[in-house]
Amino acid sequence: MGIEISKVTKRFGSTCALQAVDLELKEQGLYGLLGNNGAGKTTFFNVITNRLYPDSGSVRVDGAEAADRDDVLGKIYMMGEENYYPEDMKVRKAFEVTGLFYPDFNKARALELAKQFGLDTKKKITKLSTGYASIFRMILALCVNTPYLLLDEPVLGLDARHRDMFYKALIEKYAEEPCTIVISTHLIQEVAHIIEHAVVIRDGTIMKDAPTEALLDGCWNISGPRDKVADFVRGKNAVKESTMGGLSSVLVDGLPEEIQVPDGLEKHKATLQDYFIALMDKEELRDETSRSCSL
Amino acid sequence: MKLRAAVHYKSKDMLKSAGTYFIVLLTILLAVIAVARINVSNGGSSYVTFSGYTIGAWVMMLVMGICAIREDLRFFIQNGVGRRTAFLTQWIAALELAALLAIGGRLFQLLANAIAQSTPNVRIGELYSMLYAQGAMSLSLWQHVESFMLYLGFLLMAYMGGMFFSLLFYVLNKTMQIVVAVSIPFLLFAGIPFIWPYFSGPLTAVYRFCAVSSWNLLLVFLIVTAIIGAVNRLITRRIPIRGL
Repeated sequence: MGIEISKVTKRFGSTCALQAVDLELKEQGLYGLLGNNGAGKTTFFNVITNRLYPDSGSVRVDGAEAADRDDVLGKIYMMGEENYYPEDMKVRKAFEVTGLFYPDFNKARALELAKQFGLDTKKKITKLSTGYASIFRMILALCVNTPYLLLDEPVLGLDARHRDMFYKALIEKYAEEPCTIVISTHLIQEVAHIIEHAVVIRDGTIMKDAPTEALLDGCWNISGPRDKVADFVRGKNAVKESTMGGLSSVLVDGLPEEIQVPDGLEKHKATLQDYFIALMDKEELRDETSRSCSL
Repeated sequence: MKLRAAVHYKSKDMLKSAGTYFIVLLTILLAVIAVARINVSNGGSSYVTFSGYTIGAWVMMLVMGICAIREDLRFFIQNGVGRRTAFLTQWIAALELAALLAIGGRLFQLLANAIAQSTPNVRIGELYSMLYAQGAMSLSLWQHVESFMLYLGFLLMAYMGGMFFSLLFYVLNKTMQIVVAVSIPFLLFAGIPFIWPYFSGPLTAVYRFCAVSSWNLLLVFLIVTAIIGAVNRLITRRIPIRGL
């Protein structure tokens, strides 16, 4: 069971936003959907929730075809960056009507969260600032209690305190009522400690799909004097290098944990963000090389 | 389940709209009667005619069709309602509002006639009466039924037509939107008179068919509504639904 995406392709004119994407989002898990701008993250969510029709491929939720089926679509809630509520609707009214469509919507919890975040429920949704519009949508997402939750840039426009409050509320919700949560964000460092499984998407293609721990297993940052670092990483899988003056830092993949570094060098576990940047740089380089070769 | 919720949500909007329309129309009616009475008390003898209920309701349904569909599609998709259910909800809501306005039209007519009896220089007209009852102020029960059914079809067609234009402008690009916007008045004022001689035969036949009975006209309304409704469904089936 879970969400199964099979060979989903979506084009916008000459741009291929999703290319034969295959992915399985299992029941109960915290997923991170990571990708550059224009990688296809929002399109991916929009296809799952029937906002966009794929050109080919299918989406199945708990074994049933998702396209245009109320019972299936009702199991998924997507918190997007855009507003899908009527322009004159007020926050409180939105809380009321959400209960009509999602019987498990916890209105009391929504009002409590609104109070905690300082969201004025008497305000019109379209009059909310970017940050509060995100808070409004995030509160709905946290309180609908659907088995699948898709969060697209959930902390857009939120200050550091509100972001922290959001992550706490999210973990609390997950602990109390485990479900499948997929977070698409650019703030990788902030979600790295939350997500259990990372999905990296680039140019509409899934590049990596693995548990976060497995992805970072063997990924180390080796830093120190430039020459010493260069000597140490020679013959190893150096994914990314950054230098500053005489110092250098290299991300190495596939380095066993027990290997000790020589004196003067430091070895740190690579973060998800380091890994993501390294992966993107590598792909960018590969693209540039293939472009220059074809010329 | 979702259909019930969607209809429940939409019905509130429709009731509010119908209520507002009745209040506005009653206010206009009272103003018309007041003007007529002032006219009589000042020794005037001119007649004041009021016959805007049906056309007003038709325009309202057209505007509701134009305004509601995009907003509803967005809202419903956000709340896990499929496109088919969202479209079905539009039909149910349109039928509900059309029925409310058609029944309201009958009640309005009775009320207006009752008020107008004490003010002889006021004439309350209505579409059905003008077309099929020689402008009679009071109708028989059967004529009320005919009139109700005719308005129901007429108003339903307006809602579906409004929805069609809204969806058309949603799917077209900027250039095509301008082309269509220019084409509509051109077609109405220049196109129809131009093509009339070429199609006068079938168009006159349709006109004659409709003139025979209000049921015939209702049938034409329903056929047009069904065609527009089918096109609307085809458009909504796969359009991308974007937020604001």
